[in-house]
Amino acid sequence: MLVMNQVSKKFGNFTALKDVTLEFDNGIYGLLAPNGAGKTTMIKMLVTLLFPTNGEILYDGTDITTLDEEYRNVLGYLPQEFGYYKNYTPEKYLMYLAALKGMEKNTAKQKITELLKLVGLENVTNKKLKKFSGGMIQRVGIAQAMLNDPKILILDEPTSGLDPKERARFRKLLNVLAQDRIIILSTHIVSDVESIANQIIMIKDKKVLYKDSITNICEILEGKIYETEVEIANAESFRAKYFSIGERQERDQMTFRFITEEKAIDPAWRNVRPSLEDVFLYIYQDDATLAGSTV
Amino acid sequence: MRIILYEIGKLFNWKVIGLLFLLSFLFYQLFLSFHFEYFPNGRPAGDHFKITKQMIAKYGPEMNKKEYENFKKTYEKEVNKADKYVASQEEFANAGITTYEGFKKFDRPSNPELDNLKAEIIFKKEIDIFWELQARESIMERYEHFEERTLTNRYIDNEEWKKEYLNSESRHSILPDYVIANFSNLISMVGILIVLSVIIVVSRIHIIEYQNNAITLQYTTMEGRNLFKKKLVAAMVTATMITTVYLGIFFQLYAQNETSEFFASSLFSFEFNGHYWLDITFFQYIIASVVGVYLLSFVTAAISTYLSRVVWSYISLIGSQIPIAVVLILLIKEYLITRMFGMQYPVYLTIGTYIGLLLIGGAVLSFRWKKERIIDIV
Repeated sequence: MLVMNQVSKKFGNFTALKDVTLEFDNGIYGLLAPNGAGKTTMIKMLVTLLFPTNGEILYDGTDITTLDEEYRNVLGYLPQEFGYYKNYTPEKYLMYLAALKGMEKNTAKQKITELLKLVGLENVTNKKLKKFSGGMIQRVGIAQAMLNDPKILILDEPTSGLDPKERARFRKLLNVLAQDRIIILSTHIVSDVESIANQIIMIKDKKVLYKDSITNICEILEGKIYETEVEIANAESFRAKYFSIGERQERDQMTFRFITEEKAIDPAWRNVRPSLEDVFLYIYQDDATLAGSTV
Repeated sequence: MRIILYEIGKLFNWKVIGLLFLLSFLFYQLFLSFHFEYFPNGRPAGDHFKITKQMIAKYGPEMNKKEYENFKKTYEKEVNKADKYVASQEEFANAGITTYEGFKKFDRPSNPELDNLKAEIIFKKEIDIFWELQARESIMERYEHFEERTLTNRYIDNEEWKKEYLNSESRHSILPDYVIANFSNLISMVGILIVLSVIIVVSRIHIIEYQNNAITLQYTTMEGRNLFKKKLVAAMVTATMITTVYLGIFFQLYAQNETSEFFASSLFSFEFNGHYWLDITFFQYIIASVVGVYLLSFVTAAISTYLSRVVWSYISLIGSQIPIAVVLILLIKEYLITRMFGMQYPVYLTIGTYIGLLLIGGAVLSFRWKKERIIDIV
């Protein structure tokens, strides 16, 4: 079990995270927050790149800084922007990282062959990385994170650069891997975690706001999400009155998905089940980095 | 070991190797080739070189007083040969010059024709005996006046040491000063070339990880922050490789200067105008220079490794390396390799500077390693 106990992180006078207490067991955890909310800081502490200013991070009861390489030996990490050497082939690159992970040469070779097949790069093992597309590079990143068969797999924005097909494939892969390990998936893309995460962690104002299942989190907005059609001419005033979380234009009408806590509702409104994305947009409605979405 | 090999592999790409070739070519053309092609430089240096080698073959690395008497007899025999040659020249005989002594000293301005003839004999016909006699005279002059030169040496003010120096058997050592000067010039330029090459290659050791954004991934592997130490080993191995390759090529080239006969001769040679602190042989001096070059290479690798970790761009890396390279080059040319153990500087300054540089290299790395273990990788 991985535990963050009263963990805070400061950079000078700036507080990036405050009193974070979390427990992770085997399963997939979606770390959901807009950019700049502190996801990467939290992840960097979990992977020992940053040291907590206060509090402790324990793995099976021992501080991860004390465990040192023993902890990193069970860790797989895909950073948001991971580095690679453009003149290396994926095979050479993975062999290098396998050496850093303390893997035997023959074991590494065998594992690399398996992983390249798993991420669909078995036909380009000898092609230089500089010739790879963004999606292919990301797949190499995923492969490297799984090289040492980690007990803790931490992925920071893993699907960036992947096309929809690759995203689906990735989600399937994570489901298989999640059986006997902790997977922490940091993202600001709700759909990445919606269908696969056992639990969602939401960070706001440098603190953990929620750590719960998707169903429980969605209950926050139960009975508050509606959809309705509005004349285009009235769209502006509707927007001003209600918190719109999705809009779609159909002929001369606009279909709005919106949140309201009003008791007296219009009979034309249709109550709909809240999704994780609705909760995300509702919670971070004051965050300037959030873009609008469509229904 | 695998990690170290990977790290070394990353340091060498075709651009870096090309740059090293270009730098080496320029250094060879500008600073080294002359000392190979023109050694010994002209006459009578060439004759002097040949005669000193003959002396070593005959007397060993030192020429004691008895052997010196024998040398003088040989000189006299050679003078007799020269006398016969001069006497055989009609123009000189007509002018009453029948001996080598007369040939050497006649009044040149009043005999322009004879002067031209003398120049023809020496410079056009290059009659060996006259060049060789000049060389022998220079050897005799130096042998006979060695004590005076030592006693009036402005660098030595310790009378006791002067006596010790003069009483040393090694002062009879046969070792022309241009042999040492030639080697010293060459090895110091090779030392500079090695320092620059180590800077070019090793300085990339950490910065390539910044440039490729690879540190976050590397530091979260099992090896983690210990990679800093592995990279340091890789830097030192690389510096050793560069130094060994350059020195290997250099000594292959230096072999053509054919100075091995002097290897057993001491630096206390009567041939020297300058003096050295240590009574060591030429071969030991070569070894000391080689050790010096390796130490400088390691210091350069240590400082380059440190700078590569603390700066963030190639521009700032180059900016920080330039003053370091300049200081090292000046020290090499002044006393660390050139005039190593020469009396122009106190002997402890040379040794102290080497120790100081090694301590600086060790200190910055030790400081960085302590920081590396606790630093946040943002």
